[in-house]
Amino acid sequence: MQEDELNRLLDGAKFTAPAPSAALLDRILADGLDEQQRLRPAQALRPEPGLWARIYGAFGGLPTVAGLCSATVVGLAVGYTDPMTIDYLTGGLPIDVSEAIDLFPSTDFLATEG
Amino acid sequence: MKMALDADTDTSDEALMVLYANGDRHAALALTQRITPRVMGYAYRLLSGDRAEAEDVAQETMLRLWRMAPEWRQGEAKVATWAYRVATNLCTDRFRSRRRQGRVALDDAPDVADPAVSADTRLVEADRTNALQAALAELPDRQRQAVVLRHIEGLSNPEIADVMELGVEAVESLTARGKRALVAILSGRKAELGYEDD
Repeated sequence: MQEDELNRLLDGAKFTAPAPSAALLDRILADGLDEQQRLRPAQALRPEPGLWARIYGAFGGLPTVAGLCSATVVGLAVGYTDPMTIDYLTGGLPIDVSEAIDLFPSTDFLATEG
Repeated sequence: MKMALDADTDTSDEALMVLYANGDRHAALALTQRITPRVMGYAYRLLSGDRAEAEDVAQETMLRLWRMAPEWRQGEAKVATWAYRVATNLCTDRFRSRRRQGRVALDDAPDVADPAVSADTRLVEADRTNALQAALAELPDRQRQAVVLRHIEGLSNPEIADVMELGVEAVESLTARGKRALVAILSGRKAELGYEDD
């Protein structure tokens, strides 16, 4: 046998492989759709978040909202409470909150303002 | 029903993979129709014409394709090349297993009938096809893969290099040695194959 005869034999072989059966194609497509479903269950089942959940998320979630609520309560308390009560509450602290602390004693900010 | 995507669409295989991973059911259909016949034909050649095993290999290859779709990155590889590589490995495992069991023989090659040709021609064609299948089965694995991919599946040498994870020169060498071996194997059956009458 010569190489050109082998080439003709190989060329002829291009057309002799059987086509996949319809049953095989069905099985493969079913596998593909099953796998596709398995890949995306979270997206398919996750409900759309409600209005309050979206507002809650926009503020940054639990830590931010908790901090915001705490600051609001303290602010209201300070605003409505008698100053004497504040002095009483802060009396035990190791610093005297009634005195201003001057971090730049040698600088006169009002004089240098442009 | 008219599908948005099918085997004839212009959308590339790689784009279909991304669409499939994003939940497009029509992309699954298009990939099935495009890739399965190629993988099935290739596996059929590598497995000495065993249709049942070729179908198993095709289904397993496609299952692996579906599972890796979410990680597919366009531009990194061709889908068909990747599928041929997976099918090559699956066929190698099966072929070696059959060799160990002594199941590879000339008689494994099935007859292939084409109703459009005469009975005599059909017999000659079937003899030739069977002889080629049997001769391919005698080649070392890598030579058989290279010859089938180059001369039957019609891949280019660089594509075969990708499939077999070799250099192009190594592919050329494997193909040339495989063809020389096939000529030697088939030369002893020339008269039987009807070439003296051509």
